[in-house]
Amino acid sequence: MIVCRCEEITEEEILKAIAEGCDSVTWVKRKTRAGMGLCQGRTCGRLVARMIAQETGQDISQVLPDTHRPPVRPIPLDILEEKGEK
Amino acid sequence: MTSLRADVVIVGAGMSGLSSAYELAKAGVDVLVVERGFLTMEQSGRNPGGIRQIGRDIDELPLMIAAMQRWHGLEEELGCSIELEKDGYLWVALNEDELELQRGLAERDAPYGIEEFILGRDEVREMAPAISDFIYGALYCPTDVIANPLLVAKGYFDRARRYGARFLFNTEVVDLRLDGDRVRGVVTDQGEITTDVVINAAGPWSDRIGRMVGIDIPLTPCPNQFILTEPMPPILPPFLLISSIAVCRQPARGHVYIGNTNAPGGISGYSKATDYGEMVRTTTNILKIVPAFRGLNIIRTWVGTIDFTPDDNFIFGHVEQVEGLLLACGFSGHGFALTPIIGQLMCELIVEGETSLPVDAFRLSRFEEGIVEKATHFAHQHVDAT
Repeated sequence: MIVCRCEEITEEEILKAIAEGCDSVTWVKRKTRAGMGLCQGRTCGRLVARMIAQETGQDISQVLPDTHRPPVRPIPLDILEEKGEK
Repeated sequence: MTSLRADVVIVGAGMSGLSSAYELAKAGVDVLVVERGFLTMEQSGRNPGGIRQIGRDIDELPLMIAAMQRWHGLEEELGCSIELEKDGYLWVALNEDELELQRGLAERDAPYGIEEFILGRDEVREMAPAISDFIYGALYCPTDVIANPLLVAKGYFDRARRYGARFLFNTEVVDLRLDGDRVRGVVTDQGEITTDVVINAAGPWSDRIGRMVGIDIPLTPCPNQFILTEPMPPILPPFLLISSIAVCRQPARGHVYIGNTNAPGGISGYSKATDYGEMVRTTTNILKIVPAFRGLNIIRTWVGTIDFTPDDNFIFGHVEQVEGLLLACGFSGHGFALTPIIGQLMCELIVEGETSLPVDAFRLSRFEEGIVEKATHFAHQHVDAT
């Protein structure tokens, strides 16, 4: 079953990473790529956190989420382009 | 924390700390890594994974060549993928002066057996058609590589632990214990650790560790910002360097990484906030050189902190004033590529008392001796793209 749709990361891959000691959303991401795709974990981040909580016996409120970085939504690169005479 | 002791305590779980922990543990040394945050949470996990031989300082070159040999065997050694991609480095020149500088470097490096080629504009565009005629030429090194720093870190960490290395995360070093001028321990916010040897591998925060024992380590922290796009079919195999403007790579997966170059004199400090002006500058310049990236969506930006020294070379080895304190810091933006050799040399220095390659040029005392010269490699070549 796919948990991270953007990067096509399966439940099995994430469980394996947790079993190898990845006990935060960031570490699962770094190991498996879950949350590195177009939506930046906005869909799978909570699912991964819940899986970590279940597997490690932590309360879900104790599982560290991934860091959020700009942009909030994908934006085209050329929006930032300075178009001038140069 | 109950009372701990270790033969060697490493401050910092970045690349140099991790590879030192791995090599020392493998050699049978009892080693404990103390990390304020988590595995490779700073620049070691925020850099683009470039591993280049071109544009190196002459003193660093033999170390880099040895490191490159280790990189090629590292997946086997660590028993995991590090996504090593062997598509070379392309350092584009924007004018004749820059190409002339590159020509000089290629000639300088030839006796070391490094394949480096000077390419004209047409040759560059033949090799990488995505690159525009904005460029003048390039220095190309086909044997340079890239790797995924996150997988490298996890690989070193897993192996180091298997060999018995211990790690304390979320634990900050607040002081070093001395007996006269000799290291006797490390004080953390979680308790004390007894040890006779401390490796300061705390990246841009290494100067703070130094100050705890009155050692001045001259570092300037500078933000290094990255833009990551959605994937597109690969059009830029080699790692692209543009002096003073940007670095850019597109691994096989297709995402495009665009990083700014920033050195002392530009923006400094520890801020991790995305800087809009830097995004505009970097994007504007990269789109002149690779127009086909226009229209790609940015999905993430991030910032790491590079620890620049006054001469852009790293600091390595014993500290004269404090027995038992060793340094591996100030990597000035080229530490990732040196990862395998730094651990190896650190282990040699501690276990055998000497290193198999010369490291004297990297001693801390060079800054006091007043023999520091600005490096001639690419980071300080200022070329205006506009």
